[in-house]
Amino acid sequence: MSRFDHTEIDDVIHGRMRLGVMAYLSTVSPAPFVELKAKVNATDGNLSTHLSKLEEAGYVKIEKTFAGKKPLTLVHLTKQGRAAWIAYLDRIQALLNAAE
Amino acid sequence: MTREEILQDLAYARSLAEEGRHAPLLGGAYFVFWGLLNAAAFTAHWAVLEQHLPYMNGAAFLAVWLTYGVIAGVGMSLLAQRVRRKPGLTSIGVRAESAMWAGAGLAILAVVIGSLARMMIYGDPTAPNAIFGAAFALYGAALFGTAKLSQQNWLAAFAWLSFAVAFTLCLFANQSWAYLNAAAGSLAVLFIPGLILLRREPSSIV
Repeated sequence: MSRFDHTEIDDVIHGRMRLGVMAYLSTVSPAPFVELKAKVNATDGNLSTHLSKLEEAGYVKIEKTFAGKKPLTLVHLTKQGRAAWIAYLDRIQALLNAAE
Repeated sequence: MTREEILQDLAYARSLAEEGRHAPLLGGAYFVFWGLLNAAAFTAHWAVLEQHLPYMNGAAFLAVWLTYGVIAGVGMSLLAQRVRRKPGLTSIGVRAESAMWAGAGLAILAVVIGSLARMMIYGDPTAPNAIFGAAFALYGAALFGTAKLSQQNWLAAFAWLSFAVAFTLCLFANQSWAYLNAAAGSLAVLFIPGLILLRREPSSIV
């Protein structure tokens, strides 16, 4: 029997959209909302929903600011988010190794 | 959820992380600007030394470098506004590039102030000739650091070229033609890589 148990994976991160958001933010943070939206190929509403879940978990922080006179929404990966991302990757790696 | 689905998701995450990791650098316009401005200022300085331009009891040097300072200030302000609108501004490579050049800029400023102080306090008119050798050494260090941290290794070739220019400028610091050497060096190690970076720069999010 496989020892692969997906319940050990952090569900907050492991939606495909949220996985993409966390992956991109791991190298580009803060990322403008519009940049993130284009990278993960999402709509405004869809991305906002997923960001809310990540924000509730403390993994990202949303900052509303201005670039000149234009409003700018920046998404930051928090320290807690980076730690969760690393733990997630470690967990996935361990599960995949166990399943082999 | 199967192992294959997990692997597909990880491949997707990896591709996005790689996009951020290899985001194009955004310093091209800065390189072009400083390459041209330095080349013009060094050439003007040489022209005054060789009396192709009026010497005016040394006031010509003041005019050249004050004009340089004003253009530099206005140009940096405009360039900062331009870059602020670019995607990938906070990527690792761009942050490394920004930090390396900010550090180099401050180091050059320290050398400039120290050399000018030496000229004024000790009355040594050759003191400012120590600036351009140090500047090119610091350009080389910043280019080298940017190349390695952003994984844009082609930039390292320009770093080595900058080190070579620094060597010749230190060796021939008090020769007037060294300023022409510095002008050519500015075009070679700043303007040319700047053009290459500009061609690779994203105009919009892709």
